[in-house]
Amino acid sequence: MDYTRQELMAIATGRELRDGELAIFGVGLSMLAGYFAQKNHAPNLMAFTEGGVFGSTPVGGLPWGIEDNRISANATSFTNAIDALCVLVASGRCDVGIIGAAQIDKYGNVNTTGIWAGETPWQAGRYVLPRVRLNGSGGANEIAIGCKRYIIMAAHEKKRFADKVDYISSPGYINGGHDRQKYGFPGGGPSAIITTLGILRPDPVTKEFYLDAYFPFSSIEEIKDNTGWDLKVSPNVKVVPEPTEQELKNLREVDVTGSLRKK
Amino acid sequence: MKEKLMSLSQAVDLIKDGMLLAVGGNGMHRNPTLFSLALTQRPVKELKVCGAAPGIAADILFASGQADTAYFGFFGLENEAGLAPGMRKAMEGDEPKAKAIEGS
Repeated sequence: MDYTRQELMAIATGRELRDGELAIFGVGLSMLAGYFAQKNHAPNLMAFTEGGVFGSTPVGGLPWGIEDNRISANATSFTNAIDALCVLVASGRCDVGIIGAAQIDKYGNVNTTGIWAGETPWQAGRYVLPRVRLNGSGGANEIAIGCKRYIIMAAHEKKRFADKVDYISSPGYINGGHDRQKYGFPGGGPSAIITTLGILRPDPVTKEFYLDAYFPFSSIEEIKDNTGWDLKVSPNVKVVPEPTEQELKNLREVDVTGSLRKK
Repeated sequence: MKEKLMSLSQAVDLIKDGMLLAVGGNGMHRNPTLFSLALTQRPVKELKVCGAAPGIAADILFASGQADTAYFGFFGLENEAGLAPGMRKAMEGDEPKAKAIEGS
């Protein structure tokens, strides 16, 4: 069957969502994965964006932003980021979130702030600017802290999958174990990292991410080679099922402009 | 409301050196881009910019060198347009001309 890595990444992410859940999606691939799930197997998924657009489905292809007309055109209600993030998500009511990542580590911490390239962000007690400035966490920090669980989507490359992130923009399990409880986060943390090569899940005790499943076109070796830490592999490691014809059809109806089909 | 209406150039005249501007819009959407472009024609400098998701309008002020500080959750042009080039040019390198506050 002809499909791209990004398409299977979006479908694998969509498969994590269940009918009837309250879900928040970041912009880009996460939105496509989420609305694919709604179209494919979760018609009663109640979705909203961090811009406060509730209960809508995208019109005319991938929305550019969280308040784009493509997403707000048929919304049930359109409020604001304070309602969406600081009330609904921060109170712990949201079942699931989907976010992207520029850099990610073995405890699921996400950096979208900047790359310090070996230096630390704090030198002599002062915050110093990164070598490469990224766009910041946006609402991903609130999603990471407040959602009951959330899924991280990232292109699987060695430079992105680091032993330790330069800066924690959106916390996963910090240093592993019970670290989230220590900081009093209402949400449960990342339940999966879905990449262009496979699916990583957290160890129930240490919270270190291990390889749970790989895509049919990938392999355990390819994934280990593209991961910046010594990735543990589940003894029951599986192959992710190929997309069904129905899944691909539904995904492509959401992704009408073909953002995921560019190889 | 009518007495509050003014021309773009009158509005731009209200901006003075060192002011903190709350720039509306989100990424590429609903930005006061014309206001920023008009501001680049004035000698104002050392502006500070804040917003939940500043985008193209704020980026113009960093590209022109008129803004030196940003407070934000997200600063970018969204999706395929990517990162904000003016902001990056001002904040990266050995001698950055502008800064983002920690946590931005």
